[in-house]
Amino acid sequence: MADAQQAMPADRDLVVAMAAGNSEALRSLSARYGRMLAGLARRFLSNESDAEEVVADVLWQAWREAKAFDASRGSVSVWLVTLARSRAIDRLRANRARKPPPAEQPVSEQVPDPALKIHQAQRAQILRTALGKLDSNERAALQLAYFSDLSQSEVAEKLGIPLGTVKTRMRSAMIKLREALAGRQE
Amino acid sequence: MDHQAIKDLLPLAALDRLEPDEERALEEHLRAGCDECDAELRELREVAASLALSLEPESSEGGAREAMEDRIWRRLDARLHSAAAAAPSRFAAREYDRARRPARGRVGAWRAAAAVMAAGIVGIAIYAGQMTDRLRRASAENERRLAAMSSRVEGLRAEVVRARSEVGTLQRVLGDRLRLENVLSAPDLRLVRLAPLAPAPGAGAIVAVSRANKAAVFQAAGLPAAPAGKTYELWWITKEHGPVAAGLFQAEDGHPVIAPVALPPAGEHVLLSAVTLEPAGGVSKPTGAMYLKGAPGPA
Repeated sequence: MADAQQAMPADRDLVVAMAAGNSEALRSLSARYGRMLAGLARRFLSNESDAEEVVADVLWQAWREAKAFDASRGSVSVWLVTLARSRAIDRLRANRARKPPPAEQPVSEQVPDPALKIHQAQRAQILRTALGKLDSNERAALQLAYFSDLSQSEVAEKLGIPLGTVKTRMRSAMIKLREALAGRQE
Repeated sequence: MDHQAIKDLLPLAALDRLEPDEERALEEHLRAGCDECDAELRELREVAASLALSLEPESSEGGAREAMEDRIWRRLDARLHSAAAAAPSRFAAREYDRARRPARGRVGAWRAAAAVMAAGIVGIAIYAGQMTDRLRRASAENERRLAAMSSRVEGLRAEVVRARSEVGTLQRVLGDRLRLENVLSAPDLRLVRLAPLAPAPGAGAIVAVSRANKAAVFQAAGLPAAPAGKTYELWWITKEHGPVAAGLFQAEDGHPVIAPVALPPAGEHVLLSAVTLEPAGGVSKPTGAMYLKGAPGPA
């Protein structure tokens, strides 16, 4: 994994290259995060084509706003995930009054980087293990809060528990997840 | 809210799940310059974003994954081409970026030729991209036109339904007029003229009867529209049985009424004909106000 990381340019370097007009950097960022962002978008959108369009929107926004990216405000992955989640929720709401666009024909010409795939799979495994260690009630509140457009009150109603309990569970789950992740990063 | 209360909000803020008043309080706190909360929020946002990672399937089929990544890139590449067509200078910068990749070794004549070919291929790719964009725009325009035409067709369909309804009404009116004309031209025509009474002082009517044509037609003018839940009813009042119902009709303000009605009872002596206002559906004996009344003329 260390070799793979050393062979790869950092996310921040890719964004800097994108700001300079390097479309290959955009392609690398797409290869690095496209699948993960699509997985996130699909949690909100049942249509795969819609999810891929959201990912394309996010990466296109990253391309256009690369110059304005401020690394001191957070990592590239947080930036992309935040954009993807926000756009997926927007599209979910818009789709309620709009029919889905036609599906596109698949093409295959990109050669994936195996080292990148292994690295991402390992990171995903760490996350899933950390989530698995959470109390099931906390995990349910956390996932419902993050992977839906429901407010705190709506989450409480859906889970059939008081609002205060929802807040407590979300807070507790986030703190435990942070601790678990911090331990794994050492 | 104090510092600790704001700190308690940070995990929910990272999940983007604050209520509006909580969000305002957090913004104020951060604007006031709390570096501790700012740093912790950034850290928690990393944690929240990492949740997306947990979604990746551990063993999805490789070909499908690559196809999806290709589709995403194809969408991006199309946008790059569209943007290049719209802003040539930015595109030129991008191509410059591609072109300036370091060459290895000395460039010979064959490499120059290869470079020319590559440039040609790039040119073709640009042209193809522009054509794709044009086709996409043309397709979108056609879809817009199709939607507009579909909407127009729906409008025309509604007009046809309305027109059919009007034609049906006109055919009914025409049929009543023809029936009236036939009765009026019958050799055994008998007319009953009905004079207005207090409820409709400006009204008037006739009933044309022809036993040879087996028809009786009522024509009136000046009657007000019947109130909701009411109808006009015509009566034959005979010496033998008193009022006998002859038919129901409606009136429209300012419009004449023509309606087929029942012949007077055969063999009975008609003393009068009258129009009363009755409950919708009619009654067997008059109960409402009388609007018109008249006696048959001589045979």
